[in-house]
Amino acid sequence: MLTWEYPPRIVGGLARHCWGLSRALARKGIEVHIITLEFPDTPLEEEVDGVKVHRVKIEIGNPNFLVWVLLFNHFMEKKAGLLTQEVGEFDIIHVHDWLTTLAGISLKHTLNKNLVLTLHSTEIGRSGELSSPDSSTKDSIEWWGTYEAKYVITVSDSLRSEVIGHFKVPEWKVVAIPNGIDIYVFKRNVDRNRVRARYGVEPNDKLILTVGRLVPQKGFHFLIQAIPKVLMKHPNVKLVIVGDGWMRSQLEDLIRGLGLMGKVITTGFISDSELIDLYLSADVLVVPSLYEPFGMVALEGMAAGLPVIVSSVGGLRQIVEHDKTGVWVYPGDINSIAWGIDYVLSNPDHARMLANNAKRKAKEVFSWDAVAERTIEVYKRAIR
Amino acid sequence: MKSISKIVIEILNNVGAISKNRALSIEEISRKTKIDAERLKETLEQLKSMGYVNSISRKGQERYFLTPTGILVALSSYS
Repeated sequence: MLTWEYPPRIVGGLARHCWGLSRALARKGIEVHIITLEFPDTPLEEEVDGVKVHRVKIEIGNPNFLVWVLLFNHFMEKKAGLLTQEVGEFDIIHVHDWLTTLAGISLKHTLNKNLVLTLHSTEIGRSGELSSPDSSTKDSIEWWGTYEAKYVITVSDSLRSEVIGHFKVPEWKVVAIPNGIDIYVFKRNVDRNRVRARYGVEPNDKLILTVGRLVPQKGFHFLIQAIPKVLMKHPNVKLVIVGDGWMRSQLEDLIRGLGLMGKVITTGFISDSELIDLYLSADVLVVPSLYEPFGMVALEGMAAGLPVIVSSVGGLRQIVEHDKTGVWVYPGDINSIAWGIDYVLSNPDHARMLANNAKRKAKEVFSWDAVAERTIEVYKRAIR
Repeated sequence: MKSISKIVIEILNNVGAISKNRALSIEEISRKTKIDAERLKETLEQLKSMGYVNSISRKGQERYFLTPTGILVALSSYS
Protein backbone atom coordinates (compact mmCIF):
# COMPACT_ATOMS: atom_id res chain seq x y z
CA MET A 1 0.00 0.00 0.00
CA LEU A 2 1.46 3.36 -1.04
CA THR A 3 0.43 6.52 0.77
CA TRP A 4 2.15 9.86 1.23
CA GLU A 5 0.85 10.16 4.80
CA TYR A 6 0.77 7.58 7.53
CA PRO A 7 0.90 8.26 11.28
CA PRO A 8 2.60 10.17 12.75
CA ARG A 9 2.62 12.02 9.44
CA ILE A 10 -1.06 13.02 9.61
CA VAL A 11 -2.00 15.77 7.19
CA GLY A 12 -5.66 14.91 6.66
CA GLY A 13 -8.10 12.02 6.70
CA LEU A 14 -5.94 9.96 4.34
CA ALA A 15 -3.46 9.03 7.09
CA ARG A 16 -6.25 7.94 9.43
CA HIS A 17 -7.85 5.92 6.62
CA CYS A 18 -4.63 4.06 5.78
CA TRP A 19 -3.91 3.53 9.49
CA GLY A 20 -7.36 2.08 10.21
CA LEU A 21 -7.60 0.02 7.01
CA SER A 22 -4.10 -1.46 7.16
CA ARG A 23 -4.49 -2.57 10.78
CA ALA A 24 -7.89 -4.10 10.06
CA LEU A 25 -6.49 -5.93 7.01
CA ALA A 26 -3.62 -7.25 9.13
CA ARG A 27 -6.12 -8.50 11.74
CA LYS A 28 -7.76 -10.49 8.96
CA GLY A 29 -4.49 -12.19 8.10
CA ILE A 30 -3.49 -10.06 5.11
CA GLU A 31 0.23 -9.24 4.94
CA VAL A 32 0.29 -5.48 4.57
CA HIS A 33 3.36 -3.44 3.68
CA ILE A 34 2.93 0.33 3.83
CA ILE A 35 5.34 2.42 1.77
CA THR A 36 5.18 6.01 2.88
CA LEU A 37 7.38 9.07 3.43
CA GLU A 38 9.92 9.81 6.14
CA PHE A 39 8.99 11.90 9.17
CA PRO A 40 11.28 13.38 11.86
CA ASP A 41 12.01 11.18 14.89
CA THR A 42 10.19 8.22 13.33
CA PRO A 43 11.92 4.96 12.31
CA LEU A 44 12.28 4.27 8.60
CA GLU A 45 11.24 0.66 9.20
CA GLU A 46 8.85 -0.61 11.87
CA GLU A 47 5.99 -3.02 12.46
CA VAL A 48 2.88 -1.63 14.13
CA ASP A 49 -0.09 -3.85 14.99
CA GLY A 50 1.00 -6.39 12.38
CA VAL A 51 1.49 -3.80 9.64
CA LYS A 52 4.98 -3.46 8.19
CA VAL A 53 5.75 0.21 7.63
CA HIS A 54 8.54 1.34 5.32
CA ARG A 55 9.29 5.07 5.28
CA VAL A 56 11.35 6.26 2.36
CA LYS A 57 13.85 9.03 2.58
CA ILE A 58 13.44 11.56 -0.20
CA GLU A 59 17.07 11.91 -1.26
CA ILE A 60 16.48 14.60 -3.87
CA GLY A 61 14.22 17.62 -3.41
CA ASN A 62 12.95 20.38 -5.66
CA PRO A 63 11.21 23.67 -4.82
CA ASN A 64 8.39 22.82 -7.23
CA PHE A 65 5.71 20.73 -5.55
CA LEU A 66 4.86 18.62 -8.58
CA VAL A 67 8.50 17.79 -9.23
CA TRP A 68 8.86 16.89 -5.55
CA VAL A 69 5.89 14.51 -5.86
CA LEU A 70 7.45 12.86 -8.93
CA LEU A 71 10.72 12.48 -7.03
CA PHE A 72 9.16 10.83 -3.98
CA ASN A 73 7.17 8.53 -6.29
CA HIS A 74 10.52 7.39 -7.67
CA PHE A 75 11.82 6.60 -4.18
CA MET A 76 8.62 4.73 -3.30
CA GLU A 77 8.87 2.71 -6.50
CA LYS A 78 12.49 1.86 -5.72
CA LYS A 79 11.50 0.74 -2.20
CA ALA A 80 8.71 -1.47 -3.57
CA GLY A 81 11.20 -3.04 -5.99
CA LEU A 82 13.65 -3.79 -3.18
CA LEU A 83 10.87 -5.20 -1.02
CA THR A 84 9.81 -7.56 -3.80
CA GLN A 85 13.34 -8.99 -3.75
CA GLU A 86 13.29 -9.27 0.06
CA VAL A 87 9.81 -10.57 0.87
CA GLY A 88 8.57 -11.95 -2.43
CA GLU A 89 5.86 -10.87 -4.79
CA PHE A 90 2.90 -8.76 -3.78
CA ASP A 91 -0.59 -9.69 -4.94
CA ILE A 92 -2.01 -6.18 -5.09
CA ILE A 93 -0.56 -2.70 -5.42
CA HIS A 94 -2.96 -0.34 -3.60
CA VAL A 95 -2.33 3.39 -3.95
CA HIS A 96 -4.10 6.34 -2.39
CA ASP A 97 -4.87 9.54 -4.32
CA TRP A 98 -2.92 11.06 -7.20
CA LEU A 99 0.09 11.63 -4.95
CA THR A 100 1.24 8.00 -5.23
CA THR A 101 -0.58 7.01 -8.41
CA LEU A 102 2.41 7.27 -10.77
CA ALA A 103 4.56 4.92 -8.67
CA GLY A 104 1.60 2.53 -8.53
CA ILE A 105 1.14 2.52 -12.30
CA SER A 106 4.85 1.82 -12.89
CA LEU A 107 4.78 -1.01 -10.33
CA LYS A 108 1.67 -2.48 -11.93
CA HIS A 109 3.55 -2.87 -15.21
CA THR A 110 7.02 -3.77 -13.94
CA LEU A 111 5.78 -6.32 -11.39
CA ASN A 112 2.84 -7.41 -13.55
CA LYS A 113 0.40 -7.00 -10.65
CA ASN A 114 -3.08 -5.57 -10.29
CA LEU A 115 -3.52 -1.99 -9.24
CA VAL A 116 -6.25 -0.68 -6.92
CA LEU A 117 -6.61 3.07 -6.52
CA THR A 118 -8.48 4.70 -3.66
CA LEU A 119 -9.55 8.28 -4.33
CA HIS A 120 -10.24 10.35 -1.21
CA SER A 121 -11.05 13.48 -3.21
CA THR A 122 -10.45 14.94 -6.66
CA GLU A 123 -8.53 17.99 -7.81
CA ILE A 124 -11.63 19.42 -9.49
CA GLY A 125 -13.50 19.06 -6.22
CA ARG A 126 -10.72 20.53 -4.08
CA SER A 127 -10.05 23.54 -6.30
CA GLY A 128 -13.46 24.06 -7.84
CA GLU A 129 -11.91 24.52 -11.28
CA LEU A 130 -8.76 23.50 -13.09
CA SER A 131 -7.47 27.03 -13.39
CA SER A 132 -3.73 26.43 -13.19
CA PRO A 133 -1.35 24.14 -15.10
CA ASP A 134 -0.55 22.32 -11.83
CA SER A 135 -4.24 21.68 -11.21
CA SER A 136 -4.66 20.27 -14.71
CA THR A 137 -1.67 17.98 -14.19
CA LYS A 138 -3.08 16.61 -10.92
CA ASP A 139 -6.43 16.09 -12.63
CA SER A 140 -4.72 14.25 -15.49
CA ILE A 141 -2.83 12.00 -13.07
CA GLU A 142 -6.11 11.19 -11.34
CA TRP A 143 -7.69 10.34 -14.69
CA TRP A 144 -4.66 8.25 -15.68
CA GLY A 145 -4.95 6.38 -12.35
CA THR A 146 -8.63 5.59 -12.89
CA TYR A 147 -7.74 4.27 -16.36
CA GLU A 148 -4.83 2.09 -15.21
CA ALA A 149 -6.38 0.73 -12.01
CA LYS A 150 -8.33 -2.53 -12.11
CA TYR A 151 -10.71 -1.05 -9.55
CA VAL A 152 -11.18 2.40 -8.11
CA ILE A 153 -12.41 2.76 -4.54
CA THR A 154 -14.05 6.01 -3.46
CA VAL A 155 -14.75 6.95 0.15
CA SER A 156 -18.38 7.90 -0.46
CA ASP A 157 -21.24 7.53 -2.93
CA SER A 158 -21.03 11.22 -3.85
CA LEU A 159 -17.33 10.89 -4.72
CA ARG A 160 -18.13 7.76 -6.75
CA SER A 161 -20.62 9.75 -8.84
CA GLU A 162 -18.09 12.57 -9.20
CA VAL A 163 -15.36 10.17 -10.39
CA ILE A 164 -17.64 8.34 -12.84
CA GLY A 165 -18.95 11.62 -14.24
CA HIS A 166 -15.72 13.61 -14.40
CA PHE A 167 -13.31 10.90 -15.58
CA LYS A 168 -15.86 8.93 -17.62
CA VAL A 169 -15.00 5.69 -15.80
CA PRO A 170 -17.28 2.65 -16.30
CA GLU A 171 -19.62 2.30 -13.34
CA TRP A 172 -18.62 -1.34 -12.64
CA LYS A 173 -15.07 -0.25 -12.01
CA VAL A 174 -15.78 2.19 -9.18
CA VAL A 175 -16.73 0.92 -5.73
CA ALA A 176 -17.73 3.17 -2.83
CA ILE A 177 -16.36 1.98 0.51
CA PRO A 178 -16.64 4.50 3.34
CA ASN A 179 -14.01 5.31 5.91
CA GLY A 180 -14.20 3.53 9.22
CA ILE A 181 -13.81 4.43 12.85
CA ASP A 182 -12.33 2.79 15.94
CA ILE A 183 -15.34 3.40 18.16
CA TYR A 184 -13.70 1.87 21.24
CA VAL A 185 -11.23 4.76 21.54
CA PHE A 186 -14.14 6.99 22.56
CA LYS A 187 -15.11 4.71 25.43
CA ARG A 188 -13.22 6.32 28.26
CA ASN A 189 -13.93 8.58 31.17
CA VAL A 190 -12.65 12.12 31.01
CA ASP A 191 -12.72 14.95 33.50
CA ARG A 192 -14.68 17.35 31.30
CA ASN A 193 -14.06 20.39 33.45
CA ARG A 194 -10.33 19.78 33.49
CA VAL A 195 -10.17 19.29 29.72
CA ARG A 196 -12.25 22.42 29.13
CA ALA A 197 -10.10 24.45 31.50
CA ARG A 198 -7.04 23.71 29.31
CA TYR A 199 -8.69 25.74 26.55
CA GLY A 200 -10.23 28.46 28.72
CA VAL A 201 -13.73 26.97 28.59
CA GLU A 202 -15.76 27.21 31.82
CA PRO A 203 -17.88 24.26 33.09
CA ASN A 204 -21.13 26.06 32.22
CA ASP A 205 -20.02 27.27 28.81
CA LYS A 206 -21.38 25.59 25.70
CA LEU A 207 -18.33 24.18 23.93
CA ILE A 208 -18.63 24.06 20.14
CA LEU A 209 -15.86 22.00 18.60
CA THR A 210 -14.56 21.97 15.04
CA VAL A 211 -11.57 20.04 13.70
CA GLY A 212 -9.59 20.03 10.47
CA ARG A 213 -6.84 21.44 8.31
CA LEU A 214 -7.03 25.22 8.33
CA VAL A 215 -7.58 25.65 4.60
CA PRO A 216 -10.43 27.44 2.76
CA GLN A 217 -12.08 24.14 1.72
CA LYS A 218 -12.96 23.47 5.37
CA GLY A 219 -15.11 26.61 5.65
CA PHE A 220 -13.92 27.66 9.12
CA HIS A 221 -14.09 31.35 8.12
CA PHE A 222 -17.86 30.98 7.75
CA LEU A 223 -18.21 29.26 11.11
CA ILE A 224 -16.25 32.03 12.85
CA GLN A 225 -18.47 34.66 11.24
CA ALA A 226 -21.55 32.79 12.49
CA ILE A 227 -20.42 32.98 16.12
CA PRO A 228 -21.51 36.62 16.82
CA LYS A 229 -25.04 35.64 15.74
CA VAL A 230 -24.97 32.60 18.03
CA LEU A 231 -23.66 34.69 20.93
CA MET A 232 -26.68 37.00 20.74
CA LYS A 233 -28.87 34.13 21.94
CA HIS A 234 -26.29 31.95 23.71
CA PRO A 235 -23.73 34.25 25.36
CA ASN A 236 -21.92 31.36 27.04
CA VAL A 237 -20.83 29.73 23.78
CA LYS A 238 -17.15 29.09 23.07
CA LEU A 239 -15.77 27.74 19.81
CA VAL A 240 -12.60 25.64 19.85
CA ILE A 241 -10.90 25.13 16.48
CA VAL A 242 -8.48 22.20 16.42
CA GLY A 243 -5.96 21.91 13.60
CA ASP A 244 -3.38 23.91 11.75
CA GLY A 245 -2.69 24.99 8.22
CA TRP A 246 -1.55 27.88 6.08
CA MET A 247 -4.79 29.79 6.72
CA ARG A 248 -4.27 29.96 10.49
CA SER A 249 -3.02 33.56 10.59
CA GLN A 250 -5.92 34.72 8.43
CA LEU A 251 -8.43 32.98 10.69
CA GLU A 252 -6.80 34.48 13.79
CA ASP A 253 -6.96 37.92 12.16
CA LEU A 254 -10.67 37.33 11.52
CA ILE A 255 -11.22 36.31 15.16
CA ARG A 256 -9.49 39.49 16.35
CA GLY A 257 -11.33 41.62 13.82
CA LEU A 258 -14.69 40.36 15.05
CA GLY A 259 -13.68 40.90 18.70
CA LEU A 260 -14.02 37.17 19.42
CA MET A 261 -10.80 36.68 21.39
CA GLY A 262 -11.52 34.38 24.29
CA LYS A 263 -14.72 33.23 22.59
CA VAL A 264 -13.01 31.48 19.68
CA ILE A 265 -9.86 29.53 20.52
CA THR A 266 -7.40 28.01 18.04
CA THR A 267 -5.31 25.13 19.38
CA GLY A 268 -3.04 24.17 16.46
CA PHE A 269 -2.30 20.47 16.10
CA ILE A 270 -2.95 18.44 19.24
CA SER A 271 -2.31 14.78 20.00
CA ASP A 272 -4.95 12.16 19.20
CA SER A 273 -5.43 11.56 22.91
CA GLU A 274 -6.07 15.25 23.58
CA LEU A 275 -8.45 15.37 20.63
CA ILE A 276 -10.47 12.45 22.00
CA ASP A 277 -10.61 14.23 25.36
CA LEU A 278 -11.98 17.30 23.60
CA TYR A 279 -14.59 15.32 21.65
CA LEU A 280 -15.75 13.82 24.94
CA SER A 281 -15.89 17.23 26.63
CA ALA A 282 -17.66 19.22 23.90
CA ASP A 283 -21.38 19.97 23.54
CA VAL A 284 -21.63 20.23 19.75
CA LEU A 285 -19.45 19.43 16.73
CA VAL A 286 -19.67 21.59 13.62
CA VAL A 287 -18.21 20.55 10.24
CA PRO A 288 -18.66 23.61 7.99
CA SER A 289 -16.80 22.25 4.93
CA LEU A 290 -17.39 23.58 1.43
CA TYR A 291 -16.11 20.36 -0.17
CA GLU A 292 -15.90 17.09 1.74
CA PRO A 293 -15.78 13.77 -0.11
CA PHE A 294 -16.17 11.90 3.19
CA GLY A 295 -15.84 13.84 6.44
CA MET A 296 -13.94 11.75 8.96
CA VAL A 297 -14.35 14.44 11.62
CA ALA A 298 -18.15 14.12 11.53
CA LEU A 299 -17.84 10.38 12.03
CA GLU A 300 -15.51 10.92 15.00
CA GLY A 301 -18.01 13.33 16.55
CA MET A 302 -20.80 10.81 16.06
CA ALA A 303 -18.73 8.06 17.67
CA ALA A 304 -18.03 10.36 20.60
CA GLY A 305 -21.76 10.88 21.13
CA LEU A 306 -21.92 14.51 20.05
CA PRO A 307 -24.75 16.17 18.15
CA VAL A 308 -23.14 17.02 14.80
CA ILE A 309 -23.94 19.93 12.51
CA VAL A 310 -22.58 19.51 8.99
CA SER A 311 -22.65 21.30 5.66
CA SER A 312 -24.94 19.48 3.28
CA VAL A 313 -22.13 18.56 0.87
CA GLY A 314 -20.56 15.37 -0.48
CA GLY A 315 -19.91 12.54 1.93
CA LEU A 316 -21.30 14.48 4.89
CA ARG A 317 -24.79 14.04 3.42
CA GLN A 318 -24.19 10.29 3.38
CA ILE A 319 -22.80 9.99 6.91
CA VAL A 320 -25.30 12.32 8.56
CA GLU A 321 -29.06 12.15 7.94
CA HIS A 322 -30.75 15.48 8.57
CA ASP A 323 -32.66 15.56 11.84
CA LYS A 324 -32.04 11.84 12.40
CA THR A 325 -28.34 11.57 13.13
CA GLY A 326 -27.42 15.26 12.98
CA VAL A 327 -28.29 18.57 11.38
CA TRP A 328 -27.57 19.83 7.87
CA VAL A 329 -26.77 23.47 7.17
CA TYR A 330 -26.10 25.23 3.87
CA PRO A 331 -22.37 25.34 2.99
CA GLY A 332 -20.83 28.79 3.24
CA ASP A 333 -24.00 30.29 4.72
CA ILE A 334 -23.37 32.13 8.00
CA ASN A 335 -27.07 32.42 8.87
CA SER A 336 -27.66 28.75 8.24
CA ILE A 337 -24.69 27.71 10.39
CA ALA A 338 -25.90 29.98 13.22
CA TRP A 339 -29.38 28.50 12.84
CA GLY A 340 -28.00 24.94 13.12
CA ILE A 341 -26.07 25.71 16.29
CA ASP A 342 -29.07 27.47 17.86
CA TYR A 343 -31.35 24.56 16.86
CA VAL A 344 -29.15 22.09 18.72
CA LEU A 345 -28.42 24.27 21.76
CA SER A 346 -32.06 25.34 22.19
CA ASN A 347 -33.42 21.77 21.99
CA PRO A 348 -31.23 19.69 24.30
CA ASP A 349 -33.55 16.66 24.42
CA HIS A 350 -33.78 16.52 20.64
CA ALA A 351 -30.02 17.03 20.38
CA ARG A 352 -29.50 14.07 22.73
CA MET A 353 -31.72 11.91 20.53
CA LEU A 354 -29.73 12.93 17.42
CA ALA A 355 -26.45 12.14 19.19
CA ASN A 356 -27.67 8.72 20.35
CA ASN A 357 -28.83 7.81 16.84
CA ALA A 358 -25.52 9.01 15.42
CA LYS A 359 -23.47 6.98 17.86
CA ARG A 360 -25.46 3.86 17.03
CA LYS A 361 -24.95 4.45 13.29
CA ALA A 362 -21.20 5.00 13.73
CA LYS A 363 -20.92 1.71 15.57
CA GLU A 364 -23.11 -0.35 13.23
CA VAL A 365 -22.13 0.98 9.81
CA PHE A 366 -18.60 2.34 9.98
CA SER A 367 -16.39 -0.27 11.66
CA TRP A 368 -12.89 -0.74 10.19
CA ASP A 369 -13.45 -4.50 10.11
CA ALA A 370 -16.42 -4.00 7.78
CA VAL A 371 -14.36 -1.64 5.62
CA ALA A 372 -11.51 -4.18 5.47
CA GLU A 373 -13.90 -6.99 4.45
CA ARG A 374 -15.27 -4.93 1.59
CA THR A 375 -11.74 -3.94 0.54
CA ILE A 376 -10.66 -7.60 0.51
CA GLU A 377 -13.60 -8.33 -1.80
CA VAL A 378 -12.26 -5.72 -4.21
CA TYR A 379 -8.77 -7.25 -3.98
CA LYS A 380 -10.20 -10.69 -4.79
CA ARG A 381 -12.04 -9.35 -7.82
CA ALA A 382 -8.91 -7.53 -8.96
CA ILE A 383 -6.82 -10.70 -8.78
CA ARG A 384 -9.37 -12.84 -10.62
CA MET B 1 -0.14 32.83 7.37
CA LYS B 2 0.55 35.34 4.62
CA SER B 3 1.37 34.05 1.14
CA ILE B 4 5.14 34.63 1.45
CA SER B 5 5.19 32.45 4.57
CA LYS B 6 3.22 29.79 2.71
CA ILE B 7 5.75 29.82 -0.14
CA VAL B 8 8.72 29.57 2.23
CA ILE B 9 7.27 26.76 4.30
CA GLU B 10 6.24 24.73 1.23
CA ILE B 11 9.61 25.13 -0.45
CA LEU B 12 11.48 24.13 2.73
CA ASN B 13 9.44 20.92 2.65
CA ASN B 14 9.88 20.29 -1.05
CA VAL B 15 13.66 20.71 -0.98
CA GLY B 16 13.90 18.45 2.05
CA ALA B 17 14.90 20.93 4.79
CA ILE B 18 13.09 18.86 7.40
CA SER B 19 15.80 18.06 9.93
CA LYS B 20 18.84 19.65 11.56
CA ASN B 21 21.30 17.93 9.27
CA ARG B 22 19.41 19.13 6.19
CA ALA B 23 18.94 22.71 7.43
CA LEU B 24 19.59 25.52 4.93
CA SER B 25 21.13 28.96 5.24
CA ILE B 26 19.26 32.15 4.41
CA GLU B 27 21.28 32.45 1.20
CA GLU B 28 20.40 28.92 0.10
CA ILE B 29 16.71 29.44 0.85
CA SER B 30 16.81 32.80 -0.90
CA ARG B 31 18.16 31.17 -4.08
CA LYS B 32 15.43 28.52 -4.01
CA THR B 33 12.55 30.85 -3.17
CA LYS B 34 13.75 33.91 -5.12
CA ILE B 35 12.91 36.02 -2.07
CA ASP B 36 15.51 38.56 -0.94
CA ALA B 37 17.49 37.62 2.15
CA GLU B 38 16.28 40.45 4.38
CA ARG B 39 12.60 39.75 3.79
CA LEU B 40 13.28 36.05 4.12
CA LYS B 41 14.94 36.44 7.51
CA GLU B 42 11.90 38.32 8.81
CA THR B 43 9.58 35.59 7.49
CA LEU B 44 11.69 32.77 8.90
CA GLU B 45 11.77 34.41 12.34
CA GLN B 46 7.98 34.78 12.20
CA LEU B 47 7.64 31.11 11.24
CA LYS B 48 9.98 30.23 14.10
CA SER B 49 7.78 32.09 16.58
CA MET B 50 4.79 30.11 15.26
CA GLY B 51 6.62 26.83 15.83
CA TYR B 52 6.77 25.88 12.16
CA VAL B 53 10.50 26.43 11.66
CA ASN B 54 13.54 25.87 13.84
CA SER B 55 17.17 26.80 13.34
CA ILE B 56 20.64 25.76 14.35
CA SER B 57 23.86 27.69 14.30
CA ARG B 58 26.61 25.98 12.35
CA LYS B 59 30.02 27.56 11.76
CA GLY B 60 28.61 30.91 12.78
CA GLN B 61 25.82 30.67 10.27
CA GLU B 62 22.10 30.28 11.10
CA ARG B 63 20.48 27.38 9.23
CA TYR B 64 16.73 26.72 9.10
CA PHE B 65 14.57 23.61 8.87
CA LEU B 66 10.90 22.69 9.27
CA THR B 67 9.59 21.27 12.53
CA PRO B 68 7.19 18.28 12.39
CA THR B 69 4.30 20.76 12.80
CA GLY B 70 5.76 22.86 9.99
CA ILE B 71 5.87 19.83 7.69
CA LEU B 72 2.20 19.10 8.32
CA VAL B 73 1.25 22.75 7.78
CA ALA B 74 3.27 22.83 4.53
CA LEU B 75 1.34 19.85 3.26
CA SER B 76 -2.05 21.01 4.53
CA SER B 77 -2.96 22.56 1.17
CA TYR B 78 -2.54 19.33 -0.72
CA SER B 79 -4.24 16.51 1.21
